[in-house]
Amino acid sequence: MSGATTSKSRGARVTQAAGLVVVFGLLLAATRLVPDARSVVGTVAGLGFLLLAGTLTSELAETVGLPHLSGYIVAGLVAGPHILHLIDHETVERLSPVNTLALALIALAGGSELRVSTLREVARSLSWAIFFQTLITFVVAAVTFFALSGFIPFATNMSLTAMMGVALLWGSIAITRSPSALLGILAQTQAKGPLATFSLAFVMLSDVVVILIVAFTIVLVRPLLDPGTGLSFTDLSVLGREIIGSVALGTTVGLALAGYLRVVGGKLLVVLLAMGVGLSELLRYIQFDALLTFLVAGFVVENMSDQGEKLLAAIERTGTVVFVIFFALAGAHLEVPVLVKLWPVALTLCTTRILATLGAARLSSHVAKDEPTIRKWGWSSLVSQAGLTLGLSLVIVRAFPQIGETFRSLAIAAVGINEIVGPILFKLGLDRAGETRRETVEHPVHATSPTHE
Amino acid sequence: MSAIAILTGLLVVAYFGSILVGGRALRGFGLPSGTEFLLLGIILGPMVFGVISGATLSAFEPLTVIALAWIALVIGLHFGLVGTRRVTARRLGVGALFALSTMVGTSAAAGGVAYLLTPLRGHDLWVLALGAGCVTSETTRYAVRWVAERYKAEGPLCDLLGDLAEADDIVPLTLLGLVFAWGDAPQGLHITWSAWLSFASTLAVGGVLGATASALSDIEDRPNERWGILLGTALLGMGAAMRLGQSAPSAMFTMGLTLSGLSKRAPDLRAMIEQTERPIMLPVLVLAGAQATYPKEWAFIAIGAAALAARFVMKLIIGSALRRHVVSRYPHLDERLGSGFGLTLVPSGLLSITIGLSCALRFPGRIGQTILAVATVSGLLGELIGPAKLKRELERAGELGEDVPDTAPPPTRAASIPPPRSRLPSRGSRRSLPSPLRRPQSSPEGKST
Repeated sequence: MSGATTSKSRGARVTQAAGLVVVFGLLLAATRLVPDARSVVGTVAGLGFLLLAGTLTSELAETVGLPHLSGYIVAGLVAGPHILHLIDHETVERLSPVNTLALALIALAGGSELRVSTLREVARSLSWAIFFQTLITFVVAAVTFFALSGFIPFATNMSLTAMMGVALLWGSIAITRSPSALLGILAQTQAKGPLATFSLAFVMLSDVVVILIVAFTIVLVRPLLDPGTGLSFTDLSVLGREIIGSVALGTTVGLALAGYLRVVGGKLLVVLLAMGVGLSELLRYIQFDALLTFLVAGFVVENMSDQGEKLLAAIERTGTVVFVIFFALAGAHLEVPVLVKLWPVALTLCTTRILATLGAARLSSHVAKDEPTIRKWGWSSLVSQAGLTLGLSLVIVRAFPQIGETFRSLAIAAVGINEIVGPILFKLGLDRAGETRRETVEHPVHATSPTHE
Repeated sequence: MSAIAILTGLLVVAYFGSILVGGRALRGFGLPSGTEFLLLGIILGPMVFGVISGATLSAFEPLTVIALAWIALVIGLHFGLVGTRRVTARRLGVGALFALSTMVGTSAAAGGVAYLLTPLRGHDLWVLALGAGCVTSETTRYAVRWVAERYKAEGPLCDLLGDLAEADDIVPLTLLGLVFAWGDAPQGLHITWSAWLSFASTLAVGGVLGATASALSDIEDRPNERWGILLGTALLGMGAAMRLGQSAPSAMFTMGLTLSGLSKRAPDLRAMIEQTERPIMLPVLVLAGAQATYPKEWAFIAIGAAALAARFVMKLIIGSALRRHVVSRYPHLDERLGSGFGLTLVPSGLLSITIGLSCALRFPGRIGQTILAVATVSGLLGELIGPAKLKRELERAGELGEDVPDTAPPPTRAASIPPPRSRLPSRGSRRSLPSPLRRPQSSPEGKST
């Protein structure tokens, strides 16, 4: 994730554009000269390309007011398997460990940003917002999906009850947000203020709520999609174990990390890498939720020790590289053909979701008597969707194979749109709310400083 | 053992490596060229216990290749500098010439034996001969720095040996590009080009990316962003070079040289990157040890033995010439410096291992195995002989610190990891030691004053 926004001279921008041309040119030449490279070769070149092209594109995107995140995604999208084919499908898959690492770092950073004192300040707003956002967005998204069923390929032959079930599953997907996009924008803009605080607390807490709601929806929908089966609480029991286990392990990891930071305090890059890779693998093996575990660990470090800022600074240093690759990879991962095929339906679904989010935000702000900034722009951070949404859509497709990959494709198409639009809206909101800091090159903010001090 | 477990293990090794470089470790720990980690790799690898299997090593190939090329980038970015002191152009030339002479000698020996005992001909023969030459040509700068640090050595002879060890890196790292160019072209290459054109394009990739990284770094004030630029450029260069069947270490060395020469921020970049050297070096040595599977045919063992013998002979000849040069400037040292002065030049280490491992990955089979075997055996032999001889000669020249106890353990058994360049005591901070060669001060360029 980039550090603070900087204003650079025209000459510097020209140099960056020239650098981008060199980078694209070199990989283009290499891929055209040797189209069928060994996968290892593609992986190394792809990694470097995504990092460099993502960084340069984000810098150039800044000149037209777009967030860095959009630049990373655009770089990945253009170079990805569906446009220039500089990065092939295999490379995208082989780089998936970067996603694991990035999600671990994002969750750790997210937990570290959640201070009990801050949560107390915005508790009232937060409670109403979570209630209305969840309820209204869920219902509106489900109803819209149901209404559009005639245009959705796999839904045309479904019974009414089955269609209702699928619509409810879509509703549960619609309430997911993107912690990674949120943290990406906050790190770039170094934003401070009520909107930034509210958005951070909302998105992080809504993660937990979303996981629960998706699990409940799966339980409730099963009899609708599988008429032979009744209500089974096995899924809930598994979920309960997963959540309690994740919280317990996250607490332990958080305490251990706080102890390490206090006693040793150095070599955090290697420690975070080992944790992100090794612990994530262990969590996958014992079927605990990695996002929740790392979120709790970060929360514990922040609130039960005085090492939070040190941890945030270390994550910022490590994440600079990892997050660029993560988002550029997300761009390369975008299924352009699916988006092209399903864009009218996906666009309608996304538009109604944004409108529902806006309406719910206005209602909750009115009830909670929020300050004008949140009332006006509180919704802007809630549009982005990314990895969590895709992960949960995969869970749903695995639970209900009969709805097939088309459901997931539709989710991917919707995520594609929200992933591009969401960060732009949130940055616009922060800019308009006056919470972003524009730094000049004469007074650079080193990205080693914590995102929020 | 799973890949994730091994990766975590390597990160743990890297962790300890970074602690060693951070100055927490006690001085007097480790061997000059990190041979203990090489041995650890051999023990854990398929040859002994098989904890790290061949399949796991294959899975780690991308990481290994990245690490090897990164080490070359670090060397390129620091080339011509000993600490903050710049090595003179003359010494750079002499060091490169010595390395080239050794390389010619060992390549001729290895190639000759291979020609006589094996059916290898053409490109394969060239690859084997030049590869063996590349891994035997250098004298590791770590050994000189280690002795200097461990025994508080200071003086012109110490500087001279350090400078030559620094300067000779350019030969094997550049010519490795030629070795790779002699190899088979990558599958599916759409154009046909000669080995020389391929070699030139290797250097061009490094040069272009070095210039790009330099331009981008110079306009970037944020250190984290500079990290991204450097890492991205390097990875792209490594990937592009490998895709074209070129030597990634050679391309990265050229990139480092270009960056060092062009960037206004070169000192900052060096400071940034040197912290990574040791944490990467130790896992690389472990992986190299694990990768080492020695050829079983007598012919290839004979080739390796010939290369090693030729290396010793060439180092003795070069050492003799060097001794004459030193004595011509300081006649009173004629009786002090011992015979076999060239043995001070035999330690080899990380660079040779890097090149050997690169060859083993690029040329799987007997050729790659033989080159890596020569590199590892050369490292082990150099460790046994070099540092002790170096210490003795510096002692005779009166360049060792006076407070070092006579009972100091031999360097091959109890020694300290050499500090990174920036951690070497500044020349001003070193105490003045009695020596017939001692200069009152050194200029930043390393010239006697």
